[in-house]
Amino acid sequence: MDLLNLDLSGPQWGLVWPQLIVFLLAVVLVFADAFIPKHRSFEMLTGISIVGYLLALGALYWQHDKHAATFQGSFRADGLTVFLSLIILVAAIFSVLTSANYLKDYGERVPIGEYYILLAFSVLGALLVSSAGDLITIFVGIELTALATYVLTGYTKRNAQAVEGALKYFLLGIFASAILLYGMAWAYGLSGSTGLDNIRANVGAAVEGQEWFEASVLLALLLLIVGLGFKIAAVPFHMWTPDAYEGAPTPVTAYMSVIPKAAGFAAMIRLLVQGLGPLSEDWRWLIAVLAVLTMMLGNIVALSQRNLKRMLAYSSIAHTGYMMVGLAAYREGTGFGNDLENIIGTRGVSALLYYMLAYVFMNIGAFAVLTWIQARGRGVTLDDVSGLASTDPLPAAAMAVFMVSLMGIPPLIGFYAKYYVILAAMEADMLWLAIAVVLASGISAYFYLRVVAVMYFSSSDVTNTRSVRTPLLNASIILLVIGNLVLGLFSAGIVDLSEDWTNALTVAQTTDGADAAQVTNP
Amino acid sequence: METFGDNWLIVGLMAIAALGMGLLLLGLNLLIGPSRPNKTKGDPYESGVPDVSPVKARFTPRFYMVAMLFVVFDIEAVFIFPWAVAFDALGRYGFLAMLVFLFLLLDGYIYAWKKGALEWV
Repeated sequence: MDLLNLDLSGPQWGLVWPQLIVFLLAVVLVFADAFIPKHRSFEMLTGISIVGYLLALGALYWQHDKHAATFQGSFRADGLTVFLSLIILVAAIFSVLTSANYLKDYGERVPIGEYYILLAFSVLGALLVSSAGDLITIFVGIELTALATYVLTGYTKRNAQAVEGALKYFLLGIFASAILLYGMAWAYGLSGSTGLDNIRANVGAAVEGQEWFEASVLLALLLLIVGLGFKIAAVPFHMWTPDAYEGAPTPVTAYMSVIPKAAGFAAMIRLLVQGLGPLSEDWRWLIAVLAVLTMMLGNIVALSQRNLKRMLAYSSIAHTGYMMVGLAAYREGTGFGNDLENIIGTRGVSALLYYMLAYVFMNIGAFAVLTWIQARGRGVTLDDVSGLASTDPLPAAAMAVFMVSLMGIPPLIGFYAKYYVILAAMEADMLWLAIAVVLASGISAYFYLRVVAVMYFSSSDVTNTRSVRTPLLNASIILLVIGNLVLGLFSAGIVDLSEDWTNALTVAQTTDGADAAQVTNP
Repeated sequence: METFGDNWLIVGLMAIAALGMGLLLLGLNLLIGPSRPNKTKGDPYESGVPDVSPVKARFTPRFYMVAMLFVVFDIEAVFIFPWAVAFDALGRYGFLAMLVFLFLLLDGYIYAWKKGALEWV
C-alpha cells in the first residue's frame, strides 16, 4: 500500500466528536493546571472536568444512529461505540464527583491537577477501545487507560501500600500487554490485516479445511483471552486486583474497578465478537470456564475478608465472572458470512452491556460510601462500619442499597443485570452456566448482607470521627442510589436498545472509500 | 467438532515445546557449563562497582525530568523529519496535522515549564 497516495482529507470528523471532546478536555486540563493559581485550581478543574464529560455525553447523541467507520476503518461509530461510551462517560462523571472531596482534603499533600488529567486520558483510552475497528487502536486505547490507571493507583506516593499495589498492577499489567500484543501479532499474521473487518473475513474464509491454520488461530485466541483476562481481572489472572484495589485511594478504586474493566470488555467484544466471531464455538467454552472459575473464586475468597475494600475487590472479580457469562452466551452459526440469521446469541452481548451499566452504579456507589466514611476519619474494615446506621443513617441506608443491589435483589438494578445474563446463558443452551451464576450469587449473599447486618444490628464503638462537608460526594451517592432504584425498572427498554445496536455490530459496513485499499491476502 | 481436540493438542504441543526448550537450555548450562564461583562474581554488581559507598555525595541529575523533557523533544524530531521529507506529498492536510501535533507537544512543554521542571537545583 502506498502511504503517500492515501487520501488524508478523508476522515469524517463529524463521527468522532465525543472522543475528540474528551481529548480536548485532557489538553485543556493540562493548560489549566499550568496556569490556574493553586488556591483556585480545585474548583476550576473539577468544573472543567464535569462540563467536559457532560459535553461529550451530549455529543454521543449525534453518533447514536450511525453505522460508519472512518480513519481507514480504525475508528468505528456504531451502536456499540455509543453504548460503551455512555457507560464510560457516566462512570467518569461519577468518578469526578466521588473524588472531588477526597482531593480537596488531601490537596496539600497530593497534586490535584494531575489527578484530573490522568483521569481524562484514561477515559479517552477507554473511549478509543470502545470505538476501535483495528487491532492497533484497541492496543493503544488499552494502554492509554492502563498507564494512567497505574499512576493513579500509586497516587498517594508516600503511602507504602499504595506504591506496592501500583507496582504489582504495573508489572502484571505490562506483562499482560505483552501477551495481548503477541496474540494480536498472531491474528495479524493469520489474516494479513489489522482491521477487524478484514480479520473476520480472512480468518473465516481461510479456517475451513486447513487444520494447521485453525491451530494457530486457537493460539492467537488463547493469547488474546489471557492478555485481556488480566485487564478485566478474570481468575486465574486476578492476582493484582486485591492489592491494587486496597492500596489505591478509595475514589481511585471506585474508578479503576469500572473504567479499565469496561475498556477490557470493550476490547473483548470488539476482538472476539466482531473480529473472531466466526470462531465463537471455539472461544466461548474458554470464556465460559473462566467465567465459572472467576465468579466462584471471587465470591468464596470475599467471604473471609474483613477489610471492605478487599472484599469489594474480590466482589468485583466475581462480577467480572457474571459479565463473562454474557460473552460466553454469544453464538454464531457455522457460516462465515455476515448474515444476521447465523447469529443465535447477541442477547449475550446486550446482557453484558446492561450488566456493565448496572455495575457502574452498584460498584462506584459502594466505593463512594466508603469514601464518605473515610472522609470522616473512619477506616474501611467491618468494625469501622459497625453501628453506622445509628450514627449516620443516610449513608448506611445508601450502603445497604448498594450491597443488596450487588447481591441481586429485585427491584434493584443488580437483579435485572443478573436476570438478563442468566437469560442469555439459557438461550445459548448453557444451563450449567446459568446455574453457576445462581449458585455464586447465593454465596455472595453472605458477605454482602454481613455488611448490612453489621451496620444495622451492631453497636458503634467508633468515637474519633470528625465532621466535614462533602457536597459533591453526597450528590453522587444520591444520584447513584436513584440509579440503582430506577434504572432496573427501565431495564427492558435499555436491553432492547443495546440489542438493536449490537445486532448491527457484525454487519456494520465501512463507508470509507480508502478501506478498499487494505490488504486482503494473508 | 472432531478436529477440535486435535487443534488444542497442537497448541499444547507448542506450549510443551517452548517450555522444553527453555528447560533444555537452562539444564545444558547447568550440566556442561563450568562453575568457578569467587567473591567478586558473587557481588551484586559484577562489573566492579563497589556496592557500599559513602552517602555524602551531593548530586542531583534529576533523571526523570531530563528523561521526560527528552521525550518531548525527541518525539518531535522523530516525527518532523519524515514529515519534512514528504512535505509536498502530504500537502495542506499534512501541514495542519503537524501543527496540531506541535501544539500538543507545546502543551506538554508548557506544563513541564510551569511545574518547574526547568528550574535546576
